[in-house]
Amino acid sequence: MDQLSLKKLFLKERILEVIPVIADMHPADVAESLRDIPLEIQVKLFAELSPEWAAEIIQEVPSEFGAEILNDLAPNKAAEILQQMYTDDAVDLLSRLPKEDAEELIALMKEDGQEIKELLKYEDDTSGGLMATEFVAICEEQTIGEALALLRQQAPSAETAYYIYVLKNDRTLVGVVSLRDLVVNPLDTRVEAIMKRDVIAVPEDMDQEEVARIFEKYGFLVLPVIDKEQKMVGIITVDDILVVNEEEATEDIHKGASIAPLETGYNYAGVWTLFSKRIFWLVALIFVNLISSSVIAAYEGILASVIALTFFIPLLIDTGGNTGAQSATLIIRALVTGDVKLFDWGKVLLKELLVGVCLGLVLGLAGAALGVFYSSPMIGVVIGLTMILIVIVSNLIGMILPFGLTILKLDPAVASGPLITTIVDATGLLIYFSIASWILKL
Amino acid sequence: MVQVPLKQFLLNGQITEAIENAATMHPADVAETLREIPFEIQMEFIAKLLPERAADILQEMKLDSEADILSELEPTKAAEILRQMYTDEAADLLAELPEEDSEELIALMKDDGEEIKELLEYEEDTSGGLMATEFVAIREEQTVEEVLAQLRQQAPSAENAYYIYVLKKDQTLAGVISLRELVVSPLDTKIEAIMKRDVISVPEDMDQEEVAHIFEKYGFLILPVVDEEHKLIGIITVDDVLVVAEEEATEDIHKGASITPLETGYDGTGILTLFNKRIFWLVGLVFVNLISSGVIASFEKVLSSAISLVSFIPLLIGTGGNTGSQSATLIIRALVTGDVKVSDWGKVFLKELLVGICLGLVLGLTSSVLGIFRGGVEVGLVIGLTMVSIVIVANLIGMLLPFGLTLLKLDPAVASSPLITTISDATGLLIYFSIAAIVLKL
Repeated sequence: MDQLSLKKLFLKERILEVIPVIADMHPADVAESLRDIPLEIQVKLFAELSPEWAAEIIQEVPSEFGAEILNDLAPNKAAEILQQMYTDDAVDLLSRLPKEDAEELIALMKEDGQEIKELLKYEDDTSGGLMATEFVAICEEQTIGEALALLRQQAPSAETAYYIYVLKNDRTLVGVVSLRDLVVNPLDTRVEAIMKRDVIAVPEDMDQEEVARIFEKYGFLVLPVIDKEQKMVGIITVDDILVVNEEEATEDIHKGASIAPLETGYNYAGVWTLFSKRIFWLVALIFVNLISSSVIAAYEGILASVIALTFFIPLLIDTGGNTGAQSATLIIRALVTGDVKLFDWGKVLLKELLVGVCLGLVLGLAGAALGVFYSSPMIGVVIGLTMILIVIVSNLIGMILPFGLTILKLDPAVASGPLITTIVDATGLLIYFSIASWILKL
Repeated sequence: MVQVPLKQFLLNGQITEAIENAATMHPADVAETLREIPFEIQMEFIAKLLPERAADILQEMKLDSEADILSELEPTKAAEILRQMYTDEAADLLAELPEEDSEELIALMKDDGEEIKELLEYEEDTSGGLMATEFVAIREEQTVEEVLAQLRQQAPSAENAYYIYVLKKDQTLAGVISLRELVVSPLDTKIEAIMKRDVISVPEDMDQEEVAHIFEKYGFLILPVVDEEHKLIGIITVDDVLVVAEEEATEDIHKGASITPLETGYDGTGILTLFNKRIFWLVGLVFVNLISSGVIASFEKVLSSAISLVSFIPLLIGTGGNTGSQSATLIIRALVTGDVKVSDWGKVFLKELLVGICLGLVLGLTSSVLGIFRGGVEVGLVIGLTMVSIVIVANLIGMLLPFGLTLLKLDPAVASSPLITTISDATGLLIYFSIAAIVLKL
């Protein structure tokens, strides 16, 4: 059945006919088909589904929505569904509910609730906030046969059984074996004989961006999380990291346009949130822009005598701004991905100086031609020279600012396109009027 | 993660000690240390390692450094190392080398070479370019016991044993079973009884960005790749997709600043390439900027009678540009991540209209105060009114352009901050001078 007819069934609230249709679908596809369905109908659907199935689907729905659905279900049903979810997903949903509601549900979840309560203590964007507690643990004295027997018992509830962690009695992490190792070795081999001892693990309070970088660097699918005493407390799986990466990229892209991080997707952000995430920099940049106004005011005499100079103001300062925004964007991204390190600054400065000179020459020529064409040869010379200088200087400002911010231990992304443009505007005007007054002898 | 001794040994040229020291380190950590070591020493180190270990470490290095090392090694040694690599990595690497060199190496790789040759025919940024050919394939008539015996014999690497693919006689994909299900099932179970039949697979020519979306949507670790006849030809693992996701984010961020995507990292890109990737839009935007110059020129009379109006030009058009960049950035990212669909345009338009009004009021009030302070009540009124209109209009331009481009099946990311800034400048100047002419009765 196609998406459209499924949607129609939903909208007519023929839930009992919907269920056989979605039975063959992957939970992620079911979640996608729910996107445009009103909340009340979604709640009716989940009330009819078995808790396991409902849990599989809710795990695929954006958590803002998942929380709303849970909140509208009968508490008993909601708690049953939560019990069927991986702990990391359950925690994610519960942390979005009003506190009393979350507590009520946790109480209804019995023992599982205790574990969730522990997890809720971690910050959202740390390894503790990302981890699930369903992992398979064995002792080093066990044989492979024993380990496999244990696995048969535990595997159904584990989020991933591809790695089995070897713990001492006090739960400190001493080694790891892959499921493949268990399968290809004789059954009476002792675990300690085949386990890998230098396990790379992350502390429970590590920032999620750093966790993502470790996954990327080592190509891991799963990472164990340990507490301060080296005791293993959970695992993070790579599918959660894909989501983290997308969030972090969105955050970086938003910062590049001077927008404070949104926390939720655009679709869920209200007018007020959007306003408050944007207004700070816009107002602040007005004050930076006052410098440009002062520069123009200071040269008002020159402008009044050669009014044609004003025609080229937007052209010159915009080109400077665009050039600076390009170099800042390149450098910030290279610093964020580790492609360029702080100590590379000398090399990068030289590179951007040369790129700036090339860009400046081409743009200067274009600017000069326009000046001659629209005004006079003298104006053409002014525009051409100004353009070359503005482009070279803006290009370097765009490069130096992110490096400088990183050295000062600040976020290089603060050097956003708008900030660079605004700074470059003032610099560019100063260059423009100085050259104009010199060549035109004003 | 302790890298200091290794680095010291290498810098002192104590290769044997370095190899011993690196033995317990993760290959990714060794590769990171090598980044800071002169090339000749890297070569010497890699040449003395066992092919298997050398392959592990090389696979973690940047592709261009990897290719440099490989092409300097003795061809027989290089071929031996290549044979130890995953086929997808080896193919990526060989694609970097000059054609004769790679052909020589492929010939030296014997039967493995054939497989690589086929992989090299796929486009780099498609599923075929990402896939490896190492997978475990079984038949549906086999029992769990037989498959486990086969696994013991083949001893595939851990990553490639997570999922085992069930093929029909003609190599078409019939089902999949995870190693974990296999391990927990009774030994005499027939595979057909436990395999999952609706396998989600990707065609060999799918774009890598789409592949990444599928991984993210379904939370898969591995995806099978099939050809036109639904025959299984390879698998893609999620760790390769993490790299793809980072590349795609970088591309999106660069486009946001009107930079044509760089094919390599910033560090590996030369001056001429950087120039090429930036100059097109910079020159293009110079011509768009001519509209702004034209607008100013046509209001020359207004300006010469109230020259102080010029000093507010950067403030007004700068703020308009910043506002438009913000909304364009928000919308483009929301469209790319699927957070907002094209069909949502009405809802988004209303939202941005409201956000724009709120922003306009605050910014208008701020700037009218500045205007009064600098040029009197009338100028303040002009600046305030202009600011409100510019902000609302620029905000909507930033929202409409990405939607419009998507509707025309063009890349919404073309609506970069520089383009938006330049367009909203011309619009802003028109608004400014029109309001000034009316209020100041010029």
